[in-house]
Amino acid sequence: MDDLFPHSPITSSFDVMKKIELSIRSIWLVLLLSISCVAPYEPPIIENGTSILVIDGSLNTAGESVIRLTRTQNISDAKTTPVELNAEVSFVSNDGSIYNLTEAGNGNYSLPPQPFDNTKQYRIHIRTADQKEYASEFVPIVPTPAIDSVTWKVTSENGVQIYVSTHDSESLARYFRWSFDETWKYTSAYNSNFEWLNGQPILRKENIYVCYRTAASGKIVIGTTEGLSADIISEHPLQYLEQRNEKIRYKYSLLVNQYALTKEAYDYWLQLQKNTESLGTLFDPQPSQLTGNIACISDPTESALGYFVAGSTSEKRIFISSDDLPRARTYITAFDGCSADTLQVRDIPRLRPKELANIYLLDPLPSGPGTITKYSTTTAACADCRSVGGTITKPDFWQ
Amino acid sequence: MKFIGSAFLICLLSLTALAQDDQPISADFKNLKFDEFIGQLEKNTPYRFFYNPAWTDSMTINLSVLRKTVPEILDEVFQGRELRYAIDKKSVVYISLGQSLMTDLPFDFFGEGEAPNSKRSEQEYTPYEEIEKAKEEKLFTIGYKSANSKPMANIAGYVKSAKSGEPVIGASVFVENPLIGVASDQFGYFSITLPKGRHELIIKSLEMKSTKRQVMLLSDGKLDIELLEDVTPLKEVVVQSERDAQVLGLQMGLEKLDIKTMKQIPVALGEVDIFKAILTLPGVQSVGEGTVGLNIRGGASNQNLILYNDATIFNPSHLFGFFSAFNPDILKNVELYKSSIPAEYGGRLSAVLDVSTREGNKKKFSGSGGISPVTGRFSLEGPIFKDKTSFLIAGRSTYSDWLLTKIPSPTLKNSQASFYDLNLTLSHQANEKNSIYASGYISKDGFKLNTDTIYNYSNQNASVKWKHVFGNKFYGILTGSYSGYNYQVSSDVNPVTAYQLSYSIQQINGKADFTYFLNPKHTLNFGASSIRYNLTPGNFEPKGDESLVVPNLLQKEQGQESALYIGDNFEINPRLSLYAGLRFSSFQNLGPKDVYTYSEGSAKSENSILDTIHYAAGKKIANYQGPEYRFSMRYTLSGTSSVKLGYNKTRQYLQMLSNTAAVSPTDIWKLSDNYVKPQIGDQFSIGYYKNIKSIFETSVEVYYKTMENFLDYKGGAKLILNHHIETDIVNATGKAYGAEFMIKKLSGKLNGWISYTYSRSLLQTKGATGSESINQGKWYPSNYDKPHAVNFISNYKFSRRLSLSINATYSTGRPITLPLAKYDLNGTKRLYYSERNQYRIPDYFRTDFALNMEGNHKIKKLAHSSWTIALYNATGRQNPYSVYFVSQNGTVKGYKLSIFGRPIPTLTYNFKF
Repeated sequence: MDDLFPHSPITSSFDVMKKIELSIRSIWLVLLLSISCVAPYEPPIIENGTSILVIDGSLNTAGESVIRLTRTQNISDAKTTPVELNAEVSFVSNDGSIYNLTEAGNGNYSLPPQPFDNTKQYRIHIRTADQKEYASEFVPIVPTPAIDSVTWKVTSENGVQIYVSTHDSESLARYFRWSFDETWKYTSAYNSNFEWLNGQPILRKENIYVCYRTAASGKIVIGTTEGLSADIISEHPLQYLEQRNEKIRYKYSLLVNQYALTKEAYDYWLQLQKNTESLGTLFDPQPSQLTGNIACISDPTESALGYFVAGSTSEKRIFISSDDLPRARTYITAFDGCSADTLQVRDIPRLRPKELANIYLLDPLPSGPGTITKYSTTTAACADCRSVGGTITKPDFWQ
Repeated sequence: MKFIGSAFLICLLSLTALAQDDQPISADFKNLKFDEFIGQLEKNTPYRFFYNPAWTDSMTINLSVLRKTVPEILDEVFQGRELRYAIDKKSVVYISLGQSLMTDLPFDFFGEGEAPNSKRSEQEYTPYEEIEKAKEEKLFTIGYKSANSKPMANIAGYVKSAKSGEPVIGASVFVENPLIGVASDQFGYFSITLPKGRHELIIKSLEMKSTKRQVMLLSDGKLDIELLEDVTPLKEVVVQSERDAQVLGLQMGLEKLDIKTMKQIPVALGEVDIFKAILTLPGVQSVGEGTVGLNIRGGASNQNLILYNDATIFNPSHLFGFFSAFNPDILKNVELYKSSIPAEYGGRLSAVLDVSTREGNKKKFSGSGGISPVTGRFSLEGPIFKDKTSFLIAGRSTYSDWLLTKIPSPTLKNSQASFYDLNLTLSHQANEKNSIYASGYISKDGFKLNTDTIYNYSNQNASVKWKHVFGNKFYGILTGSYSGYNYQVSSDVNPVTAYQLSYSIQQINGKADFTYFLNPKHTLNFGASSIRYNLTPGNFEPKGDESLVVPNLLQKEQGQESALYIGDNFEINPRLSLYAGLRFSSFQNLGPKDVYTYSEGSAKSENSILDTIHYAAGKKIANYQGPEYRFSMRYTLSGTSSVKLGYNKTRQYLQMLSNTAAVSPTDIWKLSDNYVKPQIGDQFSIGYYKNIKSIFETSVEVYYKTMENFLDYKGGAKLILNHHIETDIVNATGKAYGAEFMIKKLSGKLNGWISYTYSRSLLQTKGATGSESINQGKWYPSNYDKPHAVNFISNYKFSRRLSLSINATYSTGRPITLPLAKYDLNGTKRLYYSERNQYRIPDYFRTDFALNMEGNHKIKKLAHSSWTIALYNATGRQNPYSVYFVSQNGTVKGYKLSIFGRPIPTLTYNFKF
């Protein structure tokens, strides 16, 4: 819903509404908790305690196809996602051609580029190590047209709204999904110019102030030209960045992947989009159960999750530099709680190496000519930009 | 009148019989039956006699008198017998057994001064009662002897309280042979048609002393009846107004609750609450404690029409539903129609809850009030013009703001929560034919709970009613009412982002209702009504000059709902009667408005919007209409048992959008339009009723109900500030069925009831695909589907002043949708949910105790007071109210929340003067 009027200030009122809805929920809890009791609750374990197979991936007509097989976990499980190993995965066409995927480790199964026949329909077939067989429905290949453009505008609130536009001259594709990766340049709170060598400050060799970070967006963006006379998607909103968002402080890049979908696949993503991640109180919207188009054919009582599609993707990357944007006075960053301290040089010998390692020296503080008596300092979390997940290596595509 | 005998022995007031026509007579009475003797006296003297033939049928008179007066003759005849007599100013002689009657008001009846030697014990009876006895035995002649040869004639009049002059609603007025009866309506008005001749008219009503009138019916006429209040009606559990009503009444699925019954149901926060009382009745559920919505026979909470002195109430709750919006001190009558809804009611699918307040004491000033742990309330009433005009004003407020500051929690210390409500009613009887009633109501809630966001909501209601009696058999009521509800959510902590979100709904309602007592077999009700709706579905606006918030306004909505109805109560024979009603309702959604159109054949979503159509002001956007049939039938099997059938069809054009399981103050009312279709409901019900030895009242009712266009929501639907709400709505089909069993004990020291209800409430999205399909189009339980429910309500009277109530409630847990697992898809963690409402929270069980202590019952006390000590949830069971999940460090933990998870004691003080 946020996507409908994202370039207008309505977005902000939606945000407020979200906040209102959330705070009504929390008010309830506060009010109720004041006179109430809370006890742990274990939801019933699903279907004989076994987890469900999750199939993620698609048949790619224009490149390598990758299918990832994982398992569901109980919601209170803190371990990493369990992957499904030693399965036999294949694509089967409706005239019986079989393409076997090879296991690529970590639950991934891949197939090098193949010449698929666009007039045929394909299904995925999986035989797991415990000899259970799964198969999807047959799905047609929906060729994805190229992305025409990825554009952006500065909104009246000085935020950045990014759009995608495409068209299909053959009018084959009417339903679309987009996923995108974001990469942005950012800096840590303080630039540490010195590092320790044998307990003595020396000039830092490596720049840990500037980093690049790439993250896949989990946001589901879908659109359709259904009902339009022409198969044209014009400026479909992809992503909105508030003016103070750290991502547009220096430079920002967005890589869009476009997938053409069947109507059924589109409905699946639409429903997945509606399933919010809020859970179970009296004031939460109702979620819906969503499985997909894959079933366990050897045991009809067992479910499988995921929606198998066949087609291709087209992609496009754009860059947005802060030079082209109205600057914000402050940016909201992951380093907002940071502060600087001072370290007297005479105290250095008294500190153990372990303690020194977490003191990041910024700059010598002037205290008369020729002598450095103290340094401004901070912690690793505030000086090393890698502490929040980025890398100091500039990505290959970075311009 | 079981205490007549003892009254005659104890009360030794004597008085002198004054006769005005003391002309002596001479006569010879030989071997005369008493009747013949009196007949001769009546022939020869102006005296008229009233007596019970049972006392005198064994007497034979042999007497010769010479120039003696009637009193002297009677003295001789009654010498040595238990019979006494009294003569009033009109030479009417009342013969009684054991004690002569007062024919005049005793000295100082109106209390202007203290009568000498008038010290009375508590057991003595009031002068009222003495008069009452006289009235019961007096023969009232109704109408005139006329040439009119019709065999039947009609008596009409008002049943009123002798103490306050207020009408008595639902009093049964009947004769036993042949069994013909009616009930007084909301004005206390009754109209009964009987064969001409002599009858004993019996009048019974809840909380009132039963009485009777001897009438000689000659032609159509009037008779007003005043009832004495039962001054010590301590804690009788009476749900039906009259014991025989359940078996003999035509209505089924009707529950009447009076304030006395409600008072003895223990509540958590110390204040009498009609919703908590209604929840003890079979067929009534709610999603959880501390929520306000009632789910009646499987219907949604917005499918109940809640009327407060004829004006619709949109949010009947205070403080998130912990309190009902109605001040208990001024309530008179609460009627809940679960099925067989009469044709005069319409606009909601499931049930009608008709709440009426008292009119105010027409004779003297009085007041009442109470203090409970969270609230205080006070009411004052009295005459403006004695016996003609009265007022009643009442207010209630909470001191929870002050309480919150006392709670040692920083979160709560910074919180505010308060509410108040005000009521005013005026009643004016202009003359015998015209009465006017006016009522005003305002409620307001405000709260802020440790956030910068302030919430307010308010109900405003006003109604004016004019009743005109055209004749004995025909009267009409013209009603105009206004109902408004609005809420605001605002924040002004940061002047730059200060905002206010507001919502409002207003309805103006005009209606005319007529009642025509056509003949003894037919009573007709007919009328017309029209409602104009104006809604402001959501305005998001800046607050203050500095705010940079850009307004986001949803389009206003307008609508007009109109209806015509007629209903006939037809008594085919004493065993079989039926009610047939037809209501024809129509609704137009009116412009100005811009409406989106969507591409055909796919789920409506913001991606499938095709076009926008503009409708000019007053132009019809959508138009719906249709008949609503109402039918019920009663067949009496014997004097103590009967079978009833009922069917009703209802249409609803205004629905509440509530995506959450419980009603919340920010829920939105929405008019039907071209996407939100009106809801249509059909209910069939059948019931069997039997009274056992006049002690137990038993009943079984079975119902089956279907609902079309029931509103349910897509996963993750957003309702607030949604410009295209139709994209988040699913039109579901609903069905509900169940059986309600009940045994009541109405008399004796121990009384109460036990009921068991089996009920299901299921929904289905048939034919829908994709996101509009829920649980693949299979039937699924609604949010309030609770198959088994048992209620036990009891009250034991230790004495007239002390009683103990013990209640117990059990029900199946509410259905919920649970997250069953989490998984990775496309690089993001997602949750795998169960199908909708496939799991249940644990079952609900609770017991409560309440000890009620009344002050002494001296009539002439400055003030009457009572204390109630209650223990809510005595076993301390932690009934889960909801189950919720919190995401913590990548894992999701489940918790269950109990609201009243330990015993809650309360102490309440009430007073009345």
